Amino acid sequence: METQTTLPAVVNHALTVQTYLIYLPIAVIMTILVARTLFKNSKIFMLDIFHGRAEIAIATNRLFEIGFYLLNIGAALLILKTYKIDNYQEMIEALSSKIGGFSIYLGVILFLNLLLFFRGKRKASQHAANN
Amino acid sequence: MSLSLLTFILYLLVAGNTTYFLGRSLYTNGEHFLASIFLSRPEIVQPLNKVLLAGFYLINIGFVLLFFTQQHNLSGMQSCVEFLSKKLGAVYLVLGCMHLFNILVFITIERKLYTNPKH
Repeated sequence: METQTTLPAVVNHALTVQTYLIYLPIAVIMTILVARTLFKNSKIFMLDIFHGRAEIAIATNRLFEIGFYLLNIGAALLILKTYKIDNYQEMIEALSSKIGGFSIYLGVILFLNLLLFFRGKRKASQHAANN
Repeated sequence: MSLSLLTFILYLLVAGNTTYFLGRSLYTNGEHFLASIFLSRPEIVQPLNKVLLAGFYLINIGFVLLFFTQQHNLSGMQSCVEFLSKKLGAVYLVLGCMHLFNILVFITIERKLYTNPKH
């Protein structure tokens, strides 16, 4: 016998906004931390790639950093939207899935960047060996 | 002031500021690249850089306005935040892709000239 009554679906708007306000700073701070670590250490790769010409190496590094920020903050903003958050349990679940997904995405992008640097360095050293 | 008007103003402010600071940063950092590519003609670097900056501003503002003019029903805080994040996210992503493509083109040109200096 079916005794359950279906409640009208009330979406808690305040809780959704709270979720957004927690998610956004975390995503932005994660992006900044990763970008700073990556591009502080990539300077040495850039110097190798550009055969020690410091000016252009640092400019390239800065340009890549800007592109990295744009892409990742854009992606973080695009995946913001959540559906149907009624209580704190759903809020924590939604937050963890969003932040987890974003961390994995950041990790993949970080390794792609590292591959790019290694490839550039190898090509530069090949060229140096040929001459 | 209504909430939707406030959202639109906020969107334009954030997007405009991003455009401005991004353009300045590209201008100062891109100058080294151009100077390295046009080694034999240093007088061409400054004007070319300015033209590139103007083009960047045009494309950027075009994208910002293009994403801005769509119809939306902004009734509460939630839809406002969603609107802002969707629009700004799309703008940033498109700009970031374009920017990275530009750097790769610059690096390719620069490397070809550096490894094979005929100019």
